[in-house]
Amino acid sequence: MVNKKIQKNKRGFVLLFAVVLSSIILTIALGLAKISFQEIVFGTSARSTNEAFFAADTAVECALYYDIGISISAFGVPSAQGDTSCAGTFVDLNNGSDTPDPSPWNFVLFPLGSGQACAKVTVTKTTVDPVTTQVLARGYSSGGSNTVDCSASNPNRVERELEVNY
Amino acid sequence: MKFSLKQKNKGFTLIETLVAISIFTVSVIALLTIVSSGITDTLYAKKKMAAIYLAQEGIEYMRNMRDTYLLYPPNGTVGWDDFKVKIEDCNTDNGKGCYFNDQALDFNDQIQPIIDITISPCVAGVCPTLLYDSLTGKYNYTTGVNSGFVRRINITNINAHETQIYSTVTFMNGSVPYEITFSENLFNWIRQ
Repeated sequence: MVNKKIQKNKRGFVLLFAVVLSSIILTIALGLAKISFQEIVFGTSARSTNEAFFAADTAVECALYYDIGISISAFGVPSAQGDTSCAGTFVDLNNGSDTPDPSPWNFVLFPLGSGQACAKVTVTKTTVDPVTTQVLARGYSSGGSNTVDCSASNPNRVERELEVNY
Repeated sequence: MKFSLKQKNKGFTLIETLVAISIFTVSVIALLTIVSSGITDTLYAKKKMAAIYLAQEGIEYMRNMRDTYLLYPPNGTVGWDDFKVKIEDCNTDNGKGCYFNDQALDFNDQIQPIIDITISPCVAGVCPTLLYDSLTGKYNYTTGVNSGFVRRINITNINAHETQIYSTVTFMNGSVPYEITFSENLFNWIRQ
């Protein structure tokens, strides 16, 4: 009886051994797959980083051009469609108002880069002397199709911010 | 009774072995598939990273050139105009882009070292392949082995004071072509 029981317990050993071995192998395989997947994600995020950074940089240059690149700053001056444009789109540097609007001024640039990127800019000027200006540009790797506020639901969206003070 | 039990045991072990071998085979095949795709993906990720940095470098060279022309224009010239003349070969309207060779970059030129680099049009839209020099770790067009990366710079003049620059790097992974493009708009924001 005892002998029989032992014999019975020994059954399934090969199966158990195979299952254990294959789970070890599968774990190794999944580990390898995870590493390569992470590398691809890392590569994609490196790309998004550049998209967002160049979007922010384009936005800063746009603000600098309309503030100090022309003889009189275009900020806080009501402008007609087509007067002020960056990256081929009209930018309103007066918060959309028909009368001179006080600082800060916000505008959105889209689409930038490969067509997916966009940027949000806030320009602030002090009213007392000496007048200082701050340009705050936030570039995003996606959201370029949103023409209102550059927002996107993509959880992998990358943001890069540039701040210029003068 | 004992005889029949033994018989039963024998048969089960055979099925058991077959099942075990098949499970083992399936897992080995899975391992081989995942390892081979893992190696391919890792190679792709490596090439993609290099391509991203090369494309970024392309934009930064053009930016540096714009900055140099604008901040240190030779006497009596308008930096922005000189910059646009320099990169005219890259204009999308004139053809299919250009490439730059920094071999002639001369740091003895204290004022405008960057403008010594040569910008050449890509003949018939085909840009030369970058060579990788393992001694210096630099990508160039003169020394080293074929890196498989091709960099093309394109510009589009949006208006008189704005230029859009595209830096595209193409590479092959196996037989599949890939492309990384970055783009930035440069403005003439320095009043002269």
